[in-house]
Amino acid sequence: MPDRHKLLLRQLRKYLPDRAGDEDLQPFISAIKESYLHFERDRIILERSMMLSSEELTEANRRLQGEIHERNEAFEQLLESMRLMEDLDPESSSGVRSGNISLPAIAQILNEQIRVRKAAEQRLMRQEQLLQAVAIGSNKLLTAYTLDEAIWACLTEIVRSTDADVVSCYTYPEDAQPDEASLIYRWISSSCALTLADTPAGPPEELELIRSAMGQLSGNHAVCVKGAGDQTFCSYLLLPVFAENRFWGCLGFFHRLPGKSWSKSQISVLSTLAQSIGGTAYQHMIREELHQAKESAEAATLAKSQFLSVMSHEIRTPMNAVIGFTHLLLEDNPRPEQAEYLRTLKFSAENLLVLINDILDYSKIEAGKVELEETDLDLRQLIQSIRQSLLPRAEEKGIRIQMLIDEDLPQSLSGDPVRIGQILTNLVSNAVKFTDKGYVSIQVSVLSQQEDRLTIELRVKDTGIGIAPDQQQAVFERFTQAHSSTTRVYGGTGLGLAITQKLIELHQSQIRLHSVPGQGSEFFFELTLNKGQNGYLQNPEYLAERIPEKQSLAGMRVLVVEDNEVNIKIITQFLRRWSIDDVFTARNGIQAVEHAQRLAFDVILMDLQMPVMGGFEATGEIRKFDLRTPIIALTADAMPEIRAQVISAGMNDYTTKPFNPNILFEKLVRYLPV
Amino acid sequence: MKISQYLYEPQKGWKSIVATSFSSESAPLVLIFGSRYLLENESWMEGLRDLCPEGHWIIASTSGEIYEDFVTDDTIVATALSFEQTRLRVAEVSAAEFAGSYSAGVYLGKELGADDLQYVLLISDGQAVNGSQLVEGMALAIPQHIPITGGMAGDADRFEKTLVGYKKAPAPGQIIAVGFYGEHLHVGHGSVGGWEMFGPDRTISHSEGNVLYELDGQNALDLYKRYLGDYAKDLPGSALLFPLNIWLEGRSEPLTRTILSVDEEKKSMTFAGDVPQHARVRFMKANFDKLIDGSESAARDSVADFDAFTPDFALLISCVGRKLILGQRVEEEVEVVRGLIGTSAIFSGFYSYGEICPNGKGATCELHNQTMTITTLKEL
Repeated sequence: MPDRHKLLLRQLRKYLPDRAGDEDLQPFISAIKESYLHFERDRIILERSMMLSSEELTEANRRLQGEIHERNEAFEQLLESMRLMEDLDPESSSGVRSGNISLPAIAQILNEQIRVRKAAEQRLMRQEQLLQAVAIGSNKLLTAYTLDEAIWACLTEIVRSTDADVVSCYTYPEDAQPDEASLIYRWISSSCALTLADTPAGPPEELELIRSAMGQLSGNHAVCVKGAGDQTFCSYLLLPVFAENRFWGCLGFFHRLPGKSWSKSQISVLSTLAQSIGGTAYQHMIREELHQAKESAEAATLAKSQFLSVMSHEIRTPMNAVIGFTHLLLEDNPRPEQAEYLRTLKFSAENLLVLINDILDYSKIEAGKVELEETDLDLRQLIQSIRQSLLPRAEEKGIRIQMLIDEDLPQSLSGDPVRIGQILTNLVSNAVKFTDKGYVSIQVSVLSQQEDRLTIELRVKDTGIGIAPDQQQAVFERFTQAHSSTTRVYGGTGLGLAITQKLIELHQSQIRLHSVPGQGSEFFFELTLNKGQNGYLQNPEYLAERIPEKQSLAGMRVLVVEDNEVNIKIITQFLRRWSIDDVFTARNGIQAVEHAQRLAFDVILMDLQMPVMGGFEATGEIRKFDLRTPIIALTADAMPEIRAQVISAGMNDYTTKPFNPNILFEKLVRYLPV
Repeated sequence: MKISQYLYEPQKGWKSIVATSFSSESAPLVLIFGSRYLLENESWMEGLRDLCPEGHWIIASTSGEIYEDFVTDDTIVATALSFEQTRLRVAEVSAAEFAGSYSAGVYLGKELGADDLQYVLLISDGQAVNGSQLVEGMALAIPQHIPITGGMAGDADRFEKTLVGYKKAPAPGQIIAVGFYGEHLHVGHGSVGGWEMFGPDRTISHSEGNVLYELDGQNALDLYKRYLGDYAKDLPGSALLFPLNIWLEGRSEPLTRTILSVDEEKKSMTFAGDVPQHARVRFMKANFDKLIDGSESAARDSVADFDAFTPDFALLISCVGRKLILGQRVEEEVEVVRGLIGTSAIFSGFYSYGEICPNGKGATCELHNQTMTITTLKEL
């Protein structure tokens, strides 16, 4: 028994000293030994487990102590932080200051704080969104064309950011009673878009709220009602909209559910918006007023221009007689003193006519009714003919008219010969008028040339009286001459340069002036013109190259179509003077057509405005059977565009009444049968 | 009910312990519990066939056999129960055929379910099957008032493999359920442990099913080794000294869980039932007197409503852990049962790797560890 249990060995020695070795006792002894071992094993394991468990518990306890200590420290720190928080927010009284507070209570306070802070954060975020929306909305106010569009665009931007369930915009017609609010726009949070109100009357519940707040609104005070007992809306904000000083309308923001309200800052932001809308409304009112003012001004201008047109026609007819008979009397060998009176009469009458024409022209230009023509233009030829027409005056005064034309100037340009001719005629005739000795020169220089266009400079220079420096700007103003005494000496309307300047401006250019009083003046300007196609030049007015002898018109047969007896008398007198005896007259278009059917005429002089049948219609009838006979229109309408009208009606040319005998003579010469 | 009982010992072969003449009308239920080593050698079958009528042979390996008032090792005990009124139906499955032990339990429960089902005896492999899931599955498939009792087969304190078989040589992974039908059968049951908790509360911080890795962040196997000291070399058997008391969610009473095996490589321990993560556990230790008291309590429960009669048969299934603790005193826990139930009842049973029993009369059936679980039968 080598591995017997010590206690068992002792017991065997003591109690069974003689039988311990007996064979039949061995299983029993073995069982006892195992039992001992078993118990010992269990004892060891249990003791060990108790010790370990105790160690573990001790360790757990130590850790727990540490954790409690840490927790206490953390708790103190937490308390400190919360005291700090309370310092920032004196209104809260959590009991933190006394230190007599439990952890769950702190957790509750912190939860509350976090909730409050989150709510504040959300408010800030909403505020931010609102500010952004209002900024964008305000910008929309500025960019939209009409007020309705402006308000629509603006409110569309902001409605979703206001947190309201319903947003409405009401306006009051200027003369309406305060309770006659009309709804313009309404937005409901459940719908997606701002809608134009179907009916000007808003929902009664809104109108009722607005009506009751009218006193404050019309006093420019916002109305903010929270927790209203109203059936439909729990709270609402009404903001007055003032267009300058007028109560224009109001914005309404409505909440259906309780628990929502507006912060001071929201109200202030939305009030700013209401002010912006008011400002925009005011701007649109002003714009509307300005628009109306402009329209009435335009209507007045139109009336003025029509008045002038009628006036010019009415004045021309008697002027025709005055000038015509003055011419005839002058050629009737008057006495010297009579001749002097007649010349003054002629000068005054002609001046008056120029004045009328200039006024008409200027008012047309001013009304923006002049458009530049783009046709073939031979500038050299144009200047030549202007010189030619002014040469008699110059020769009377003993001065010369020079032409200095750049060799590089192409013969064919494209432009408006009538208006360019008018500009040059004005400048040259002015120069002749204010020059008593020396010369007037017309200069054309080519400044630059591109493939299809060129820029030229035109100068009209004289050695006349000149213009003082302080007067140089004023000469271009209407009815102004360099000196008030000038008119008395030189005549003129004072409109010539104003018209000239306007016409040059129409050509996108500027007239400039150099002048030394007593030495002369120089007007110059640039023109940029397209090059012409070297085409056929049809400017018959300026094509006259020769002034034939007055007697050479003998043998012509002329039909004068004119309803005014005085005019008939003057025309036939001149025709007789030019040895035209074969003159027929017609009082209206129908007679003219009858004459034309019976006889062949060399020229038909055709008045345009006649009873029964006018000149345009009569020409149309005549051209049905006679395409050859030249028809020259006689018109009191001095407007340049008349030319295009008569040509397109089938006539060949025109001359204005009261007619200049020289011009009429030239026209007749041109159509003299070869 | 007629009962006969036989004992097989190596070298000696079979002998009859209780002999009764059987009527030949219905096949008897034969419960054959024995040492795995003996069962693996099929020579025992021949002798039993000569003694015992053909019937429903239910065979399970054990960690110790119980008959009369004895606990034996390295024997086979066969008990033939012949019912006069009660009908039987046996269902057998192999755990490998199922995705999990739970679905095997459901299947078996459905196989046996019938209106007059009175009782289910469940004998399962003790290592390849997750006992708690098996029982949970079966409890779902049959009405709650039908008791399910039984046990997980054992393998002494070796934890190598367990065998279960029906009518043929037993094998690992088998599960057998026997349904008892008819109103003449009276069934009682009781299951009590008697262990005490000690040491700090711990929380399962890592586990998968019935495999435990960590307690409170430290390796569970290391912790067990520390507690076992020199006896760590006897793992996994020695771990039976410290079963885990585990509180499961939704249960008012804690369960006891016993270790089945350890994996030194993975540093893991496999338990007889689930050890879910985050569950609170505490070590338990044994006290001889309390274990014996527990056994007595289980016996008292099992005959609580046997007022005027004593059971014909008592099936004692006790935990291998108790046997290891009790050592030479292990038979005391059988003796107290005998003292309470009386001498007329025939005892059979075994030491197991898990006991199956309702957690009280009419309560849900569960897998237990470290208990004495007693089922009493009486055919009226």
